[in-house]
Amino acid sequence: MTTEIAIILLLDGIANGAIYLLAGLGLVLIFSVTRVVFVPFGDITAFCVLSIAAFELGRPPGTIWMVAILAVIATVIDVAGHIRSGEAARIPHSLLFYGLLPLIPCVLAWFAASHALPHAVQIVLAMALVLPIAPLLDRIAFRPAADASVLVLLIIALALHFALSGLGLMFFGAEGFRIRPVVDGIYVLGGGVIVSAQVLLMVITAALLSLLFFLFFERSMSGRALRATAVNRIGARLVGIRPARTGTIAYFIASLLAGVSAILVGPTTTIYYDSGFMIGLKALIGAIIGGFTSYPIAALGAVLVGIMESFASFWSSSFKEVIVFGLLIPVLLWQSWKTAGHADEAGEELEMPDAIALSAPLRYGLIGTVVIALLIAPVLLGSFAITLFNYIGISALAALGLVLLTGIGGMTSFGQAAFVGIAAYATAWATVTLGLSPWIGLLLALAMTGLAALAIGALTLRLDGHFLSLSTIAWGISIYFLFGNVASLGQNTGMAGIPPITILTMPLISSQTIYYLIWLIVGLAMLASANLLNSREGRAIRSLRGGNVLLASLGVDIFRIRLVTFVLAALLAGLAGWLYAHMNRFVSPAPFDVKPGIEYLLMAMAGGAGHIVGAVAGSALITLLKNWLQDVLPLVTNNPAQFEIIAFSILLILLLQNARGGLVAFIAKRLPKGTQPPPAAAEPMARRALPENGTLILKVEDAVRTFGGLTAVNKVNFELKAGEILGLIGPNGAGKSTMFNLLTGALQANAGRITFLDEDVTRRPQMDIARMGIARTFQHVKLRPNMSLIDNVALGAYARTATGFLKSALRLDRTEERRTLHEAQRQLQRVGLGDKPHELAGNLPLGGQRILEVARALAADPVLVVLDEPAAGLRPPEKEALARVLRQIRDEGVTILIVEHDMDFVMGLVDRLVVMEFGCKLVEGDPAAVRADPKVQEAYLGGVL
Amino acid sequence: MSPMLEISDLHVAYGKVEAVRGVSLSLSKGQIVTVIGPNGAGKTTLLAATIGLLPSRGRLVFDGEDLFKLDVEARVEHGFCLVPETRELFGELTVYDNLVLGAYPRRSDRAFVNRALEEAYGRFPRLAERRMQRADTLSGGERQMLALGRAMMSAPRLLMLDEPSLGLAPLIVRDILRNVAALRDSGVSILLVEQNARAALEIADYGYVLETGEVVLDGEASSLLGNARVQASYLGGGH
Repeated sequence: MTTEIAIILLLDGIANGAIYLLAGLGLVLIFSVTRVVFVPFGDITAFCVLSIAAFELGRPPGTIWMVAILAVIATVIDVAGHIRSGEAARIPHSLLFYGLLPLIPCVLAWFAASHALPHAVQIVLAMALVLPIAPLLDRIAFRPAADASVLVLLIIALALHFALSGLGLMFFGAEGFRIRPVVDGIYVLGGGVIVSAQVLLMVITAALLSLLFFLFFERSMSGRALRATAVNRIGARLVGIRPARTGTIAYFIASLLAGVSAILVGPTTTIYYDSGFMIGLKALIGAIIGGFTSYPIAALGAVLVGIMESFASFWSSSFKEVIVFGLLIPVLLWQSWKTAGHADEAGEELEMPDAIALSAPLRYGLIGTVVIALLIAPVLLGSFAITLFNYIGISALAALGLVLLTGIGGMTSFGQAAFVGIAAYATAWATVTLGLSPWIGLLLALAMTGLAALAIGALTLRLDGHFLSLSTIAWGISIYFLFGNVASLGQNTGMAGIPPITILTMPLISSQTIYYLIWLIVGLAMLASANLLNSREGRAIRSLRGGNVLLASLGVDIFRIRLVTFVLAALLAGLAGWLYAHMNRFVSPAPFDVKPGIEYLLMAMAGGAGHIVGAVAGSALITLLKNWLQDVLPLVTNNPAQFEIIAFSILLILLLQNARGGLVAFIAKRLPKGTQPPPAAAEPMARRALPENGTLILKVEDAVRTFGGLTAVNKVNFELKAGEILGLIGPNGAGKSTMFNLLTGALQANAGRITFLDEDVTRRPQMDIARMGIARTFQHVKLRPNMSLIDNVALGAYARTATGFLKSALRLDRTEERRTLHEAQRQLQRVGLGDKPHELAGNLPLGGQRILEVARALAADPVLVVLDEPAAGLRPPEKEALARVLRQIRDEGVTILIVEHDMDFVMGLVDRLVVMEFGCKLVEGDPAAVRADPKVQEAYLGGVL
Repeated sequence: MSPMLEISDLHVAYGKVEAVRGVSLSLSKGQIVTVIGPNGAGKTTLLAATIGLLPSRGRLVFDGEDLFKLDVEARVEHGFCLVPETRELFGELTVYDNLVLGAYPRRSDRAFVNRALEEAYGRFPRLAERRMQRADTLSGGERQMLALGRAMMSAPRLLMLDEPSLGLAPLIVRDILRNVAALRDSGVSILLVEQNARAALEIADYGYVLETGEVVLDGEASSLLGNARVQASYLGGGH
């Protein structure tokens, strides 16, 4: 590479970077105000280019119809909304804003198209045409889901993109276009470097717009209001800013930016109806670099992406995409590392699955019926139907992986299809290129999928929430491009001639024969998954959604659980890939793109993402729907393929807006519920030797914790002896909760020492402290509401048991499981909740839930139980019940530390009191003395003026 | 004189739990009415429902207007402001930005905004010193001042304050509450929710005691101060 080439590449990169910069600014803007990752940004850019191109050819652009349709839909939705909420007065406003306004440029464009327009007018008209698109999309797709999580909004955005591509193909056709440059000519810079005027324009425009952006946000009231909405939605409402309105403004600005990007990118690149995706995704990288919050860094990141892409394409044009998207992963890691420790909650990203509690006879009856039906189907149904069943079975495996990973484990993956692909290609290569048996191919397929999952998981599973999902898009796309570019895998033509699977001597060629193998594997996979979910590790997986703090406080190694679940999901996808390759006898990259990945997600969600059965139900639903659409659509339209995509996208969006529980949840709600018998008796579990009463077990020396300018805990000292109940009290804001978190390891002290059982635990993580014998409860109860009482308590015994994933899947854990459940039942009885162990935890009143948390803490066989404001929000009788339980367990030898501000509650309960105020220890001693202390009275009663 | 704010038989539910059960209170123009009570009594829920952040049923009338017809933002535009317990400041924005945003409902009147800003700086000189600092770098007391200052920027007719003394040192609490009393003297009606019962009753005109979602006692603030039951509750009854 010579300097000249380097400079040309650099300029090229900066020029493209300028486009990504504008797109990146738009993405950060929208995300910060509405939490939507606005993937369709690129589509709007593409449509603008295509509109200008149409004007240049003297034709009315397809955008007219697109905007008209969107305008009609948005108007209908808005008017319906006003009617439903009784605000009929706002209907004229809806008609004007969503109906009339967007149609004006449409009408203008329609009439103007046939006239020869000056280039500048064409550009302005095209931009006016696309300007309403983003706000209309907001009204139609995002506003109805405004309170949804970032992840749901992201999926909606992706679905929108596919719908728009479909519409794009319909309205614009498959042809690609370039538009005339806005400015012509070239400039010669020093050193003989030539740069086109267009490139200079791009760079200058980007810089100017960035400046305008900056001025708008820093100086104007509207800009300030936008930032305020982004920073604090509730705060914004409290000063009279309407988030919906600022959202609309943000979308308008984004549309404008998309239009300007179009002017810049149109002359230099051939744009097709689906070019938007790549533009959007690369801008996304810039936005992610900026952490979705910083405009300057996002801008810089975007330019870097452009430069990176430029150089990458010079070195290896086929792997350009792999490199660029692969880069996303370290960026995400860095972002995640920056925000580490800020928020705990992995949280409830996709909707919590409802629990199903069918009676045993009903359950077995249903299973029996299905099995028999599956067995006799090949005899009764024709070959085509059986082939359909085969595809259903294969995708059910991939969907099952997502049920485990996403539905239950809470980690959303868009890349499941990539794992299917790895397995399919692995076995194809093994059998076609190396000539090995398909069974060796299976081993290789599973090995490669497993290893890939291990590597990817190790890198990305520490990410949380939407960072994790974005990373799955990154590697999903990278892997897809890998398939299409590696020569030995046949590149885009794929690999043909894959041999069929042979059992003994019989080759499974016909659809009937492989049918049995497929459904046998599906059945075994479902059985193993069900076994796993009903075991110790299964309880941990089911609790992943409860947040990191909950699991750490129970001694669970969260990363390990996530990684194993991730690999399991990948292996299931691997099975699907192997079967696919040997059934189809041909593989190509197409079925392993992000789009099929989203389809698997759709299957899991439509069927019921929280239920194993949901995988099959969803797979059947979607496959049959696709099949039906393929029959029906050609009769209705000339563009059946596009309509199919559009239909699915709309389906996904509606599902996310309205019925996140899926088909299985829908049906299960209507079936009669059964009851389960209480667990059988079993051998008791081994117990810790508790220290003798009076021994010093906890010592806090000069603990300090600060948050920015605030010193929450200021050199606090106290001790705790075995067998006593200590109360840590103080008014709101005294620092009690912070102190509590220091003790359990949820926060680390900035200075000082905390010693537990003679070991220094000041810097130890939560998981270790939990395993050493400190069990805790939470001020805001952290139970799994859709798990039974006994399962919630059994979770507490996690650290006392050891059966791993494999044994659980093979149901070899029954002995230990019986002991665990027996122990859990014992704890339930101890706290008075023993009569309905299979009741759902979410049905208990708050008092009962608090007591359940105590039972869970006790199941860990702790030395010390720390309770965080257990009396808050309880009515007097509930408080009495709780106090009784606590006294009782103290009498049985457990030491208790209660953090509270309810003086009444602690008075009759504790042996000693430590009072905190403004982060310091105010007074310490026995309850009566503390209560009479004038300093304490002052702190509580006030007496300031 | 018809009341500035009239709450009648208000019920607010969180899922299955009713946090506010049939509360009625009224506030006249230029009064400070305080609502005291232990933690978990429903005081914050009461305020959140009154400003419209939580759904509720009953009657809410502000200066003759039925509040159920207005959403949160509209209530703010009508001169009804809440400073919540969590302050809800714009942490990443400067003190100046936060204050200016407080005047959002009157943003078109530049002169008004500038005047209100000068008044805020006059009332809270510490904020003037820190006007270009980010709000999340302020201390607890300064944040409360900022929250209060921001609320005053739109010249509200009725101000609701949720535990302004929360987590603040006595000297600062004195300062804040002195400001609150001064606001009342300048004609703003104030609904003050407080845990620090004595401080609240000493500046209020009238008081309500809320326990587990219901009003158990009400009366002139001075009489509540001397009330034995109030005395007892605040020493032992939880904070």
